[in-house]
Amino acid sequence: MQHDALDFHAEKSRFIVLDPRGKLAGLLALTVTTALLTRAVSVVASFAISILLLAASGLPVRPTAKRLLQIAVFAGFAFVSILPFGGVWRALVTFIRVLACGAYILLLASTTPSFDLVRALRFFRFPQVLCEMLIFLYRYLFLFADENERMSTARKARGFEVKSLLDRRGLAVIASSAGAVLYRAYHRGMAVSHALMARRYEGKVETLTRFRLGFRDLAFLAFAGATILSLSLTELGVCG
Amino acid sequence: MTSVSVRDVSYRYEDGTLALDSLSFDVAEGERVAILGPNGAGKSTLFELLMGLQFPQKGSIQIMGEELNSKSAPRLRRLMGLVFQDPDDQIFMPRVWDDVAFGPINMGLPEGVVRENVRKALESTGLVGFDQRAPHRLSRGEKKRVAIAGVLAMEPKIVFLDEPTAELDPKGKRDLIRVLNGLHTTMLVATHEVQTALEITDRAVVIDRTKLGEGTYPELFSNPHLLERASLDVPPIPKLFELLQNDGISLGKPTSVDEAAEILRKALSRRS
Repeated sequence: MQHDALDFHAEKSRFIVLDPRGKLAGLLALTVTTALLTRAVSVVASFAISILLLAASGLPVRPTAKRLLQIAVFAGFAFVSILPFGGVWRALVTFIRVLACGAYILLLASTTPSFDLVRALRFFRFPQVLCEMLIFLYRYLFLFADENERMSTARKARGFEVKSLLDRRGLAVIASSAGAVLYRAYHRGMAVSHALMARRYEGKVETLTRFRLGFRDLAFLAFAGATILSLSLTELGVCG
Repeated sequence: MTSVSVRDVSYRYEDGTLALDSLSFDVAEGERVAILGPNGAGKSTLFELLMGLQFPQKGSIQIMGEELNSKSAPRLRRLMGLVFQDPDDQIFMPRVWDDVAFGPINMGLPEGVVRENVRKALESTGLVGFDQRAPHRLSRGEKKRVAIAGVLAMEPKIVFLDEPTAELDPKGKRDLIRVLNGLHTTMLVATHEVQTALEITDRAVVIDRTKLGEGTYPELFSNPHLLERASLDVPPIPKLFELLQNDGISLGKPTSVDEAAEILRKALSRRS
């Protein structure tokens, strides 16, 4: 089974040439700044910039739009939760703000191979154990997705379907399938642990790939800095 | 010199199931030996004991003349490499290059040596150009080759391969056998596929929890009861020539199609 990982199109992106550390710092700073904006004009400006960056990245339109739509669904929850207390205008601004933050994160995750992203996190002193958990999670997530899909196919092949949310037998079967996945995960974990020991793992994943900060990265950081400054000035009413 | 020496080894799982019972055999340096046995014969458990990942309750194991125990295991593991039955157990890293480099980096080898070892390992397993590929996008056969490359990059003196051709399609199997036949190291191959064992190794130890017998393939095939006891099949070519011999037509004991073709060609040209 083939799963479309978040970084699947990263190699095709124009932003792949950027140092993951610079990209992480720049885009995270833009995300945090956007999350702190309250004025509609600055929020809309940030959203427009995030969309422009996505367009400039050269990521394929359809899968990117699909992911943006998924973020929009999430932002929709924020809209609905603000609506009764803050009114339509505030809810709409919140919706666009969440969408803009999501778009920056989407840009970061889609244009950077996951492993490089984790290594960039490690550079910024993100805890080692969490970084390694992310590496293993990324590697084994697809295996468990496959396992789950195979079990689902096997259930269907034997005539199983959940008729409704009140179907007690159906829910019991789903619950025991989840238990079986956990049991298999345990065995997989034991085997992986043995394989790690067999290859001299002593608690630290090392790699030889080196990052290099170049002119392009400095230009990108300068752009991110200028954007943050402009957005902040707009927010403070100095301009816009 | 003896690379692997197994003496009266017994191992019982925590639930009390006997996995291995008084197993003994030796493997000389540079030898390629198959551990033949049916499913559940204890082959994978034996490899975990040989790698020092578990320890036998009875008996002893020596690697390159040194006793394998909890103290010596981390050091002796540097001499050995285990290719797991399921490559997904073994491939941890998100990119092929990083996974193959995982072991050599852990061994503390200098960067230049790591890069050279990875290059050689990828080359010998036919994986040039796969460096940046994500493991979850590879076929089963390719994953197996990545797992083997990961072990070869550590330059082990002894390689253990657990069911290397299991679940591979014919092409994947052929490619892998070619890769394995190109390796020059002491090799133990656990399998229940006699034909595969025949194509990779020089002789076999037949086990079903305990040792049932050992020898070269012509020796094993001349004792069909031995393979029968281990629920294994004699491959078609040796079986055919065995049947002909039973009918009084003694042409030899070929083990491969090529050998059989040569024997038949000679026999037919003599007749004409």
